[in-house]
Parts: sequence; C-alpha cells; structure tokens
Amino acid sequence: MRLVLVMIFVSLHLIGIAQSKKKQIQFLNAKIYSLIKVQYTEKQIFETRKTELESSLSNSDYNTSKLLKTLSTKKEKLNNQIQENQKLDQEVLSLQMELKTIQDSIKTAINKMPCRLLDSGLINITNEKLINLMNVQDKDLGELFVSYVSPDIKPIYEINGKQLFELKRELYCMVVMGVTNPNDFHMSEGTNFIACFKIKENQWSLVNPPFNTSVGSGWGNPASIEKFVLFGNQRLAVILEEGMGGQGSFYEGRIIYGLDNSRIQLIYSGEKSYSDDYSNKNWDIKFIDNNSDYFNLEIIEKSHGKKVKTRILKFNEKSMKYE
Amino acid sequence: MNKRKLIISSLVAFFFGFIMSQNLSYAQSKKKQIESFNFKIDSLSQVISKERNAQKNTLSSLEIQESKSKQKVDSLNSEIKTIENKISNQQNDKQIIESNIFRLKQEIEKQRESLKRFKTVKEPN
Repeated sequence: MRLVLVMIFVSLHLIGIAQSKKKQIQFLNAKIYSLIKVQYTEKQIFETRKTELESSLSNSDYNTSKLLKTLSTKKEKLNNQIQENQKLDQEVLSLQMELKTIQDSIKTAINKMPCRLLDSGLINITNEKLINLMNVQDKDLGELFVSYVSPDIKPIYEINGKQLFELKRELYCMVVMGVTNPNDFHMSEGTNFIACFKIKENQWSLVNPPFNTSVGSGWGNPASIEKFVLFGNQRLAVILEEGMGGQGSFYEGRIIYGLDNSRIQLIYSGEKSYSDDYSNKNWDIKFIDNNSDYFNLEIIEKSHGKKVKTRILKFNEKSMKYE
Repeated sequence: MNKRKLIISSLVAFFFGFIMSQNLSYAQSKKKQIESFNFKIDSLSQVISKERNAQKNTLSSLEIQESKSKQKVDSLNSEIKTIENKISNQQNDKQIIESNIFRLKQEIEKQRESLKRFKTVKEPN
C-alpha cells in the first residue's frame, strides 16, 4: 500500500512537470509565431518605405533630368539674349559715333558759316530800350561832356544805327549810339559807343561793354554811320565818318571799327574826302574777299572824280589793323 | 495468497515502471523540443536584428540619396529662377537699347537733314 502511495505521488509529480513543459512549449511557440509576425510586419513596412523612397528618388531623378534640360535651354536663351544685346550695344555705339560725326560736321559747318546780315527792320526793341541796355552814364563821358554854360544841359544819346546779323547760328545786333556833346563849339566833338548784343529768345544781352570811339565831328556832333560791312566772312565792321571844316577847306575822315571774336576795335582810320580852293579829293573803299579770314581793303584815291591811285591794304593780325 | 499478492505487486511495479519509462521518454522529448524552440527563437531574434540593421542602413542610404536629390532639384529650380530673372532683365535691357536705337536713328536722320541744309545753303557775303 505504501508502495502504491509513493508511486501515485511520483506519478503526480511527473505529471505536473509534464504540464509545465507543455505550457513552456506553448509559450515558446507563441513567441516564435510572434517573432515571425514581427519580422513579416517589419519587412512589409520596410518594403513600403523603400518603395516610397525609391519612387521619390526616381521622381527626383526624373525631375532633375527635366530641370537640367530646362536649365540648359534657359542658359542657351540667356546667352543668345546677351549676345543679341551685345550686338545691339555695338549698334548703339556705332550710331552714337555716327551721330557724333554728323554733329561734328554740323558744328564745323556752323563754325564755317559766313556772317549773314539781316534786315534790321526785324528788330523789335525800341531805341530807348537799347540806350538803357547800353547803360552809358554821363559820368562815363568825362569832363569834356560837362556843359560849360549850364550843368543842366546834358549830353544827348541817340541810336545812330543798328545791324542785325546771324553768326554761327546765333543772332546778334551791332548797335552804334551817338552822344552829342552839350558844348556845341566848333572844336567840341561828340562821341559814339559801339556795342554788340546777343539775342536769344527775345532776350538781349551785351556781348561786350560798349566801346567808346572818342571820335566825332565838330560842333558837339558824334560821327555818323556810313555803313555796316563785312571785313571777313565772319567779321562785321561799321564805318563811321567824321568831318571838320573851316577857312575854306573841308575834311572828312573814315574810321572803321570791327567786331572780331566778341571784341570791338579800331581796324582802319583814313581820309574820306578833302576839298579846298584848289583840290577836290576823295577816297573810296572796297573790301575784297581773298579767301582768308580777313578781307583785303582796297582804297581808290580820286581827284576831281578821276582815279589817281589804288592801294590794297592787308589785315595785320598782330596789330589787328589794316596796314 | 502471498503468491497472489506478489504477482499483483510485481504487475503494479511493472506497470509503474513502464509508465515511468514512458514519462521519462516524453519528458526528454519535450526538453529537446524546448531547446530547439529556444534555439529557433535566438536565431530568429538574431535574424530580425540583422534585418533591422540592414533595413535601417538601406533606408538611411535611400533617405540621404532622396534628400540630396531633393536638394539638387531645389538648387536647379533656384538656378533656373535666377536665369529667368537674368533673361527678364536682358529683355528689359533689350527694350531700352532698342528704344535708344530708334531715338538715335531719328536723331541721326534729323541731324543729317540739318547738315544737308547747311551744305546746300550758300551764304552771301
């Protein structure tokens, strides 16, 4: 009986161990199954992600290749555009040079353009205004122009003549103003002022300060104007004449003032006529174009109306006079 | 009676011995099975770990490639945009230059006419 009990006890113990092993096996089986499942799931996730990445890479590669082509096309377009603009720039340069050449030619042509005398009737400014613009004051005339009789007797200002002219496409006017001396004695002389105005858009401005000739006829009179004349293609002059008579003789002189490079100066002084009981002489003058900057001055001396002598004076550019 | 008891005892002992031996053999088999399973689990764990590493490396490499590729696309897009701006600037320049050319040609024509006038007009002395 004791033996049976031992056997039963041993058997029960063995059965318990066997049950435990069985559970262990079941657990291990579940673990293996779970691991396989994990492996499978991970592989699926990996494959999905890998496919995604590969697809993205492939797309990127495709885009890259497409963009590279676009880039190449754009670069080519840019280069073409740059080349085209460079050509256009060259054309601009060439046109600018052409324009400059033409402008230089125009400038040269303008600089060579002869002085053109215009009708002075076109002058739309009054003599009073011109006198004001010349701005010559009594005090500028000196003591000889102060009346010995009464200080209330003032010099008289009058415009003797004016010549409108065009030089190098600019409009100018040479104005000669006569000043009558208030002392009207035989030996008292008046004077003249010569000025040049530049006219731009109806605005008159003095090119040079009025030039006082300090010559005049007797009895307080200023010199009178014979005429305006060109003494070079681009040079205007005014011929003034003065006269003096007494004791049976009469003398007339001729004084020429030239405008040269905005400066007025005396360029010639000589006789115009002389007469007394025995002689009757006069001198005619003529400017002759000699294809140089200054014309020659021909002086024809006549006696009783007959030509007796002809002289040709050349302009001396050093002394700025006809000699 | 004693003989009968002895026979029964022997039979029980034999039967018990038989069951014991069966049990022992079953236990041995289970043990081997457990060992095999354990080995299999270890092996699977190793495989999974290796696979994980390999997958991680593969994905990492692919991600780097993808990032580089995207960067390249971005860079190309940016370069294209810059070139497009340059083209646009050049086109604007072209319009300005063409307008200059037109203006210059007109001016040249005008100046030529002026020059012609200067050359044909002979001024009197």
